[in-house]
Amino acid sequence: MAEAVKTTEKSASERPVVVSAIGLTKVFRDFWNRPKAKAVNDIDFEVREGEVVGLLGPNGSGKSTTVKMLLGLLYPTGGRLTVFGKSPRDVENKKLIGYLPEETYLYKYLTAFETLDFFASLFGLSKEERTRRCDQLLDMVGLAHARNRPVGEFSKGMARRIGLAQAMINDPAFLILDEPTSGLDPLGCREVKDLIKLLKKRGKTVIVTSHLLSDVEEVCDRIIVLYGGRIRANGGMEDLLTIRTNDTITVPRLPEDALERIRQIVRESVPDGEMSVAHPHMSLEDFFVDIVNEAKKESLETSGSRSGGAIAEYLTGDREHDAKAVLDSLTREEETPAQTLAKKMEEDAAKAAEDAAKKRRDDLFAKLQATAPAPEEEESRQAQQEIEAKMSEANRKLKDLLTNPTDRKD
Amino acid sequence: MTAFLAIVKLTCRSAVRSHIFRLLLILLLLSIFLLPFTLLGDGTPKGEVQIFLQYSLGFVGFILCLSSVWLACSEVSSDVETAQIHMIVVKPVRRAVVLLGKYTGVVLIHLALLLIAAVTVYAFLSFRLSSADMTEDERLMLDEQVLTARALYKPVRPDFNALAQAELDRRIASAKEHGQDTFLLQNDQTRREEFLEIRKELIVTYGLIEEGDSLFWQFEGLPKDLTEDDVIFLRYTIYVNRFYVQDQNSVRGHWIFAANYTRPDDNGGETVVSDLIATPEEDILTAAQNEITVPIRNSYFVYDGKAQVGFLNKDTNTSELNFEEGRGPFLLIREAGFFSNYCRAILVMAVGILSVTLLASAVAACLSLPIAIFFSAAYMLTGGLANYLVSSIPDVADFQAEYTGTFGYRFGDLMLNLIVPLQDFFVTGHLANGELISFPFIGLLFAKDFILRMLPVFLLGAWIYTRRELALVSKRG
Repeated sequence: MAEAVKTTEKSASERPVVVSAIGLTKVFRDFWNRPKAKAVNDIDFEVREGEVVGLLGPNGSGKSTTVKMLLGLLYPTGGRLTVFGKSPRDVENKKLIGYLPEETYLYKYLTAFETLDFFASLFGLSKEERTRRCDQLLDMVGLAHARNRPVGEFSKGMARRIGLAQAMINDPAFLILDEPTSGLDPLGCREVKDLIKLLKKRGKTVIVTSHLLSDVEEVCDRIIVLYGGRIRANGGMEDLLTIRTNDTITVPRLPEDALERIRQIVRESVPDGEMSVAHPHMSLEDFFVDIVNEAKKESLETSGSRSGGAIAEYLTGDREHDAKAVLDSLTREEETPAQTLAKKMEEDAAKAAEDAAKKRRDDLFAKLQATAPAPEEEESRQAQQEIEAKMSEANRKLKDLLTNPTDRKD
Repeated sequence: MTAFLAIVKLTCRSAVRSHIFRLLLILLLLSIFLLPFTLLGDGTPKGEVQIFLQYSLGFVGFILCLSSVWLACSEVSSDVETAQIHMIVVKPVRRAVVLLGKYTGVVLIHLALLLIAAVTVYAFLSFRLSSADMTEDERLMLDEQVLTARALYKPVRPDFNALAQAELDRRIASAKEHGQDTFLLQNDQTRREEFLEIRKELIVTYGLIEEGDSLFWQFEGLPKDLTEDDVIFLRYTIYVNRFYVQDQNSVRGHWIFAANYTRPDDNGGETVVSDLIATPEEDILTAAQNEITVPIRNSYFVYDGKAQVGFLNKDTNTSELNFEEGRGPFLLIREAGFFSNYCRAILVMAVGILSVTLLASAVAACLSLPIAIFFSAAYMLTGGLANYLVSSIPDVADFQAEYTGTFGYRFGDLMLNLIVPLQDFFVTGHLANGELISFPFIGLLFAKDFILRMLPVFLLGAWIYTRRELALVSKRG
């Protein structure tokens, strides 16, 4: 395991640096130029291409200040900060950056389409390209039906979706999302997370700040925890969160006697008090998303934002099939819009889970073999075969479960 | 360019949604249609048209200047305060382009309004003139004195310094001759003081004419290609005694037009022309602007661009009549039509809008909305005050007379060198008086006010704007 982590880190370290901060410091001063607060205090970090990095910390820890320095909205008091090797104030660099601010500051009198069109114009895109992208993005964030409504009438969640869409208008190589899920319903949160995962797959670099730790945990490769303007933790999610002193084995529900046998095996290695057996829980978000997906299948109407459609064609990097994409998006209405993406993500998750399960199963077998008493070899072999058959069955069920999300409630 | 145009368009859209802008728009409409009916002229068609032109257009200009200051300040600084600017400057667009886009948006919308107002006022004026009931004389007077564009020529100003120096030298020589040990001979300082005293006296007494006396003014630079069809007007204001008295009286006197020069004749020789033609003695209203038509042939009166005009005081009731410095007499000669002059007046107002918006944008690029508006208003107020100080104390700088006068003048003069008085752009008085608004005048105004004074302020504002930490200012962040 440790070796695997090292290998991943090594490959990550070979990728080009997108953000480099060395001794980054920001001191806010009062009218008389007296230091008022040290928001960021001598921090060093790097973000490499393709990484999804979570910037965590309580209020006032320096997250937003750091993000604003990355965007050239604030200037560092000390240290060196580069984005794509240049100053954050470099105008040309900004073609590569997408930014979703903590609050979505929109011009209330512009419609959803006009808002996106305005931001697209700032990138100097042609009218045709702007229209194409705006329509696709509105579809993606589930606001195609509100295309001509002024954004001033939007709910916070809908405004957030427009904010997200404008951050993607230039198909950025580096995306900064400040509290991307704030104000969004769980379905919107899921879509945002799915989007971040997709961006990661496309090799985009993303910095996410969020108070919702579960969001960060789900999408980030690495987290940087800030407190009092200093970095308290910086590392891969796997490294920081894995409790290496404990093991968890997840199997389909076992008969009591099989469970008892496993208990017995385990009891021989660890004291009784340190072992627990329980049924695993699904997260509340997964549960909620399932309910809403079910409701959508039954075509229940809502006046608010609908769950997003397919990822905008230009963001997927395939520009040859635009006409087909439009046709697809039009004919896809009967299907639940989130499912295409969700299915894709879940296939990946299933594959990852299968690999993890296989590894755990191998570990378990190795452990069982090592701890099995030698004289009862035949009995042990039979038990092992029995367990192996059960594990194989469990694995099959797990696979079914992950590739068929609607069955998960059962 | 796409980004620039997008910002211009956004600014225009944002502008028409501003409540204060809408309020000012209503005031603008009122000033065009209702204001003329609330004002009374002197009862003549000429007076009514003059009042209409002066106040309607003047008010339009004033409202548009106010509105452009408000909108420029609000468009530039509120974006920063509400953090909407964060969404824009993180895109690949230079902050200078953002500022310029906002400036252009505000200017465009106001120029459009100015054009609409100008067309409406002109159409309204044409309608009133076509439906007005007036005599032939009244219509002629209106056409010749208001609905025209006449260049104004001032008389040659005597060299008061040389005259004062000559008088001083005479006094010193006289003192020496008589062996008097006067203070004049003591030192430079006393001589300087005496010189200024003499000069002041010369200026004050220059325009004074005692009963039975006359005074002649020399005019130069008049057009050399005048035909007999061109009409020359004489404009003047007479005061009683040397003090500036606004009370109106009736005094008597003649205007004298002198043909006094030598010119080559057809035979290769020279002809000496020496003739005086006077107007009949008549009652003249004092402390009021009067205008008469020059009653002699142009080819006889004006030679080589020069002419002489004199006044003979025949008033027995007052001790002396006074032609104050800077208040005439002037000669006026038609150079263009009224429509052309009207367009030029609108052009000057457009330069005013360009300049005022430039100032407000620059200020708002560095300051918050209320402070930016306060600053812009203070700027314009100081300009007005400085203009008043300078124009109300003529020539005091030369005098170095009373301390307060000098201080006020110097302050005003300094301010006028630094800032632009709003009055510069209000030329409706010229228009109403049928005075030509010349292109050199407009060019000079543009160069002096827009390029030399406002543009550097704007560039400084833009420089600060591009270097500001925009995230430091936010009411919401």
